[in-house]
Amino acid sequence: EVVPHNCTLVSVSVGWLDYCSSCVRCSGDNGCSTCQKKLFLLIWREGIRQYGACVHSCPPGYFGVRGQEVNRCTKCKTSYCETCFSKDFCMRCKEGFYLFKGKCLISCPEGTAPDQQQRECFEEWGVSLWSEWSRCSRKRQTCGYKWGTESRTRQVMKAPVEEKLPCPVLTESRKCRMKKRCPG
Amino acid sequence: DLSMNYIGELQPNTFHRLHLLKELRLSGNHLTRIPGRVFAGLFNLKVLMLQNNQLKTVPSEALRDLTNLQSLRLDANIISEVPENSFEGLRSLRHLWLDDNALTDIPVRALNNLPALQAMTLALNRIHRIPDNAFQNLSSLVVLHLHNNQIQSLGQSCFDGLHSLETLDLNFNDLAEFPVSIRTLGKLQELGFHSNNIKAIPEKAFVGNPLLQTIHFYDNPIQFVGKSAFQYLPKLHTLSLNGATEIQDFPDLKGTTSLEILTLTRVGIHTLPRGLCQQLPNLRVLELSHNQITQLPSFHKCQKLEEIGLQHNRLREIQADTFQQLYSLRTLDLSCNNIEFIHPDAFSSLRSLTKLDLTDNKLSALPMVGLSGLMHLKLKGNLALSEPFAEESFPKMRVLEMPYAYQCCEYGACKNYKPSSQWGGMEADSDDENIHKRTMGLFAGHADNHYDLDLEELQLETEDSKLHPSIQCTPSPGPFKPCDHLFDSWVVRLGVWVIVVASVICNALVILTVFASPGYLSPVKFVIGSIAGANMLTGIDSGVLAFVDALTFGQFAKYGAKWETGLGCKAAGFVSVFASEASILFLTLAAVQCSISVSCVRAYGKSPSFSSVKVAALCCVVWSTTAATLPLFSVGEYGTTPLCLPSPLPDGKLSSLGFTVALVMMNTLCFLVITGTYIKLYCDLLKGEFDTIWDCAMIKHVAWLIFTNCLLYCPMAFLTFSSLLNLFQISPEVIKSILLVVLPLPACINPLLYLLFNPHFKDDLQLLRQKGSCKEDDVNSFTSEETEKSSYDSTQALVTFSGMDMVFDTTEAIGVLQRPPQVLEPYGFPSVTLVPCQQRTGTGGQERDFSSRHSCLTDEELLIASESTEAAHSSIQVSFCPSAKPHSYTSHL
Repeated sequence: EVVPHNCTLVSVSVGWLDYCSSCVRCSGDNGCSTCQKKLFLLIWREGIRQYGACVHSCPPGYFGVRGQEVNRCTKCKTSYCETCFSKDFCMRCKEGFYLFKGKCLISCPEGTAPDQQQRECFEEWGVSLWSEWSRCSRKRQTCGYKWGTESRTRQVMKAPVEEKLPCPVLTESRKCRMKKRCPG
Repeated sequence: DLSMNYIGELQPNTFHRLHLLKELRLSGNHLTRIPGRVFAGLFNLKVLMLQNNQLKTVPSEALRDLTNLQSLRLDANIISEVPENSFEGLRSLRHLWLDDNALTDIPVRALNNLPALQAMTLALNRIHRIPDNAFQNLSSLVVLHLHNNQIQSLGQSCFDGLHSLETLDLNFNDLAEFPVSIRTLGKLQELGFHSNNIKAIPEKAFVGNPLLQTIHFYDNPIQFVGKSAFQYLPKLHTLSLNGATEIQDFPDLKGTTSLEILTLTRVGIHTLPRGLCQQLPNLRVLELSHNQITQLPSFHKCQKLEEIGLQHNRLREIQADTFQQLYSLRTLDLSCNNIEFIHPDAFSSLRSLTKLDLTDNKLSALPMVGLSGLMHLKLKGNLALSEPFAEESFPKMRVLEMPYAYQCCEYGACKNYKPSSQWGGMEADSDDENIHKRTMGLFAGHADNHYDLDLEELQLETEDSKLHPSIQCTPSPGPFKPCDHLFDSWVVRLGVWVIVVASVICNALVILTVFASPGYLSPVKFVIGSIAGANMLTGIDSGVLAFVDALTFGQFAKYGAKWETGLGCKAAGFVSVFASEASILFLTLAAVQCSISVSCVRAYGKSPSFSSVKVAALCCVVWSTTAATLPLFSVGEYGTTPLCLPSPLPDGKLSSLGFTVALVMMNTLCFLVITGTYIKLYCDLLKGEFDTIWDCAMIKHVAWLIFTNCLLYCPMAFLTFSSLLNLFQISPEVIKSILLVVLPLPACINPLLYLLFNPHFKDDLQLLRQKGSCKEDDVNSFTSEETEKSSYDSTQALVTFSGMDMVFDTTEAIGVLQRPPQVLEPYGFPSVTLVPCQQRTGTGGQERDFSSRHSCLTDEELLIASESTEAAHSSIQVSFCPSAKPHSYTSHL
């Protein structure tokens, strides 16, 4: 463990990081500038001052980039993104946006449904259009009763990759009037 | 959050009650393995962080329970093995980190279990190849990072099945060939394969990726790029092709209509296609530096152009329509071309132009139309552009780089320049660039990591923070680039004038008495006369500077550039260097001559001939002419300062520094030689034990000259060496004063020494006067000639007695009066100069006379010699003979 004794602890005014630890090199003015192996160097700015800190995982709004010499926390590109995988690929959006395939959208695209709590767009089941209503019938009779039922169906065209939503309704039926008298 | 602890082991069912836990952090622990059922019961876990542990394999058994897991971090472990069933059951996994591990292959089978995977990184492993169908089942994958591996080859169909892939990162690998297998990635938007070993980009390279927006491929030894490689990429906004030397033609960019940034540097392009702007209407930045472009098409259809970089090309002129109507153009870099002409209307419609760089061109005029919004203007190196620019023409100007410091006088920098601004400021660039470099330097290594830190914001702030009230204009004026007066102070001005007047008059007198006097012209005297000539030239040179100062009094800035570059300055510099070198060389000659004649006389009984002295003097002249001519052939330079001297301070150019140092070294060498020879001479004279009778007045005079010149040369040598070795920081004002006053000071002191202390001057002057007055009197003419000869004899003949007794004997014998001390003492003669010999009258000093006389002398154990007996045909008059009249001696003496 390479933690130099002369390392000055800096108190920074960011809530989730109260001191400079796991640094190899740090200064009282700017915090860490070199981290221990495998840790991410997070640099941020307040006014004209720059601070550095070493972290295991980058805070919200940043993503970690591991490199040959240094690992850094880099800001997510879009401001709607709360956490991201890489510059362009978001993993969780801020409030008011819905995540879909790494993008934060204001409204979900066609074929998907918004989930308010998760702030995500869920892919819906790909279903075909409803068929025509079937003939009004009751007990396999299409006449002789006052009320019968008619139904229509549809087919699953495409199942979503993540089976989040319950299976879609594939059959619908409703009450219908029938001819009381059967012909003949 | 259990991260950053020392957990080395986890027991099964540790978390089995935490049914609602969504995120579990175990990063930064010491886990080496995770047994099965550890995560049992975590039905709702979505995020599991296991990075920075010591896992050797993917904990396949434990992960099986996490059916709702969305993100799994396994980075920064030492995983070398991914069991085939690793991710079974992770039907919802979207994000997988496996970077910074020890994988040698792509875990193809395990990945087949992740149909929902959207983003995955396998960076920083040891993967060396990607097999065919490696990612076949990952149809939802959007992001794939494979950078920092050792991938050398890609299977032809290795990316098949990645129907959704938008970002592919293959940077920092060992790919030797272009990854042709990307052809199946129809949705690819961002592709990186920089820092590989790819040498060529084939024709139609990206034909299967019509949605490409960004391609990173720098740091590849790319030599060849297919002309059609970048066709039909309608979303591509950036294209940089740098250093691909095999590109000779501009690439065909048909259909790549969104291109905003195009960089083609060090490529070898000669021409730009006519229809460039029709094809690329959205171009914002066009960077074409370091090519061989000679002609530019009209850019006026590239309405969105903001930056154009054309530095280091071969442009000769800028036409009126080239940059016409580029209303958005902000930055235009045309530096390091051969531009001689810019059409007066070339910049007239560039409303937004703020930065214009025309450094190192051959402009003689700059059209001012349309340049009123400029904030940065660089004109350095356009030596023909010497007239000043009015401050009113650039109301927004912040940073100016001018060809001449005098042009900065307008911008107020002149009045309060710092003492060391000249030399300190020359090295450093403008503040703006420094800040820029610093910020860029900070991030240079990580440009790719998008280590942004609000870089743009930062730059904006630095731009704003330097809202200086005044304009930064470089090179800033200083003592060596004065704005008002060539000479800074009245002390210097008066000093220079005194030196000029004194040196011209005194040296003229010396030359007159030495050369025009009918008296005997001894070699030493000849050299003294030559020194006076050189000194007079120095005086005249200072006079020229004083004259320039007087003429341009109060407004030197107006004329400074013209003066510096003009012929006058070159001539003045030539004369100055020639005169100073010649004077030092002549002085050396005088010293050497004195010394050699003594030793020659001692050894051979005669001194070197006058003709050889003349030849040596001629050599001195030739040598100093050569030295003075060198700067005219750009070895060293006269025009760097308005003083027209080769600068004693390093200003960057190696040749001029070398020249100055060479001069100083040579002069120092000369002084060393002089000192050496004079010490030797002194020793010789000492050995002579007062038996030597020599032209002491001349030796003494030369000694004085050496002393003063050496002393006055010291500051120059000191200056040069201290500035060369950076020993002391000497203010430029002091240097200038030294150059102006101390350097030419010997030129006025040398003749004064002669005039005031040398008896020859009085004699010669007397002779001249007599000559003038006696010319009418024919009767006295002969006697005057006689006296003149005798006077020479008394002072210049070297008479060596074998012993003091001899002197007394002879004096007794010839019955000469004792020397009259009141006459001899001021001459400083060591002993009596009485020479008994056979009388030799008339002016028949031919060669044989000498030899005969010589033998006669040796016979009598008397040595009589002159400084140059052979040369002075008419001179040798053996004087003191018994028959001679005593009163004549006394009068001569």
